[in-house]
Amino acid sequence: MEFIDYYKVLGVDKSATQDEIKKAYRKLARKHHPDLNPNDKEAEKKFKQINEANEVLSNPENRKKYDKYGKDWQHAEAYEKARAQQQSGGQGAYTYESSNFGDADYSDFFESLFGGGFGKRSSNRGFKGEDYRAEMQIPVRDAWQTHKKTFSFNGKDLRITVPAGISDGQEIKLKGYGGKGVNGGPDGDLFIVFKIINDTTFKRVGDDLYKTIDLDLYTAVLGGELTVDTFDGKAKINIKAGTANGTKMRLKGKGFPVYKKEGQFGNLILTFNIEIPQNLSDREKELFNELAKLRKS
Amino acid sequence: MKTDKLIQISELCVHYHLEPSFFDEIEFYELIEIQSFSDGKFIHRKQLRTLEKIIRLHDELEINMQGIDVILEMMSKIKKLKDELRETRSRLGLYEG
Repeated sequence: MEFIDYYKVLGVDKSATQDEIKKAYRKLARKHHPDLNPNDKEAEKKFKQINEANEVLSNPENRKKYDKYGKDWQHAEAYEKARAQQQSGGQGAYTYESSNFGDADYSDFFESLFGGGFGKRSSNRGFKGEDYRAEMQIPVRDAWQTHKKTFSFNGKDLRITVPAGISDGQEIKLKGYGGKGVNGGPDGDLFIVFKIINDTTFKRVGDDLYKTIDLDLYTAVLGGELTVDTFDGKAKINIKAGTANGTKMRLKGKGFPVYKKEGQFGNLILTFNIEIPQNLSDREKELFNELAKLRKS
Repeated sequence: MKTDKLIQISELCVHYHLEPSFFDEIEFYELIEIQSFSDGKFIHRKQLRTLEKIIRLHDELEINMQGIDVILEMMSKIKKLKDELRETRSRLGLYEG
């Protein structure tokens, strides 16, 4: 457990006035508030730190105690007990004005110096529990069809249906599987964030798939028939005579399934890459030269 | 038609320790859709998360309703931009490797 410099956390001098502390706290709270930084664990951590610093430094009595024992927090409790015994009647408990955000989640240092009983939420307002997020990786082939997925989260076995066509970064909400509600509030939700791993030769943009097809020069020039791979099989396509390099062809309905629209598919867009023959034989060179002469004459 | 998905504002006032005027302001700045019936005013259950966000921003950062209106609008724009960025990155992949 390390000593926490609350002055440093708030960026104020040790001689800072209550107004300066309040001002510094407000400024940092606005910057790091979790509602303004959704899904940012760093901001959430920072917000808890500045709340803790504010709870100590904004209360003159606690600030005094912190200034006196801060670095020697290990001995503070024993010293306080001894001092209380010497005084008749003892002191009243500290009272804190706690933030309403989250449950009281203080550092070990804070708990050690001020005890576990302080800093707890002063309001008994009920709030919905924290929303959790978990990433689930699935191969793009699995995202092609609706399937069930079983996984463990926080000791619970969960089974979900992943609809065909789910996309990278998309979320599925599992209601009530998040953090416990606070003061009678409903439980939070669990958001499964999908990370789609594409290890195929197809590129996916929305519901459309893209693929580059190598095409020999002769078919490109003369036209012909070609069998190409689609995501779920093969398709025969007709190549027009005079197809240029980079020409695109759209195969309607041969793309990815549209999310939650059964039977609907995006398109497959093929881009042709014309292969120039390499390592020509003497005879081939002769014929190409002849063709070149014909074209130039 | 009223359903069990609606929560009466008077209940919310008790639960969240709020004055009814808090909801008057929310209604005035149209931060959450408030539905009026003969037996009172209601909000839809799915707006609870937004309501709680409004309460926290109001109480913890002392932001007034006009400010919260701007924040919610900006947060919504940021989310839209993030979605667009993801889509653009995905499209960019077509021209890489």
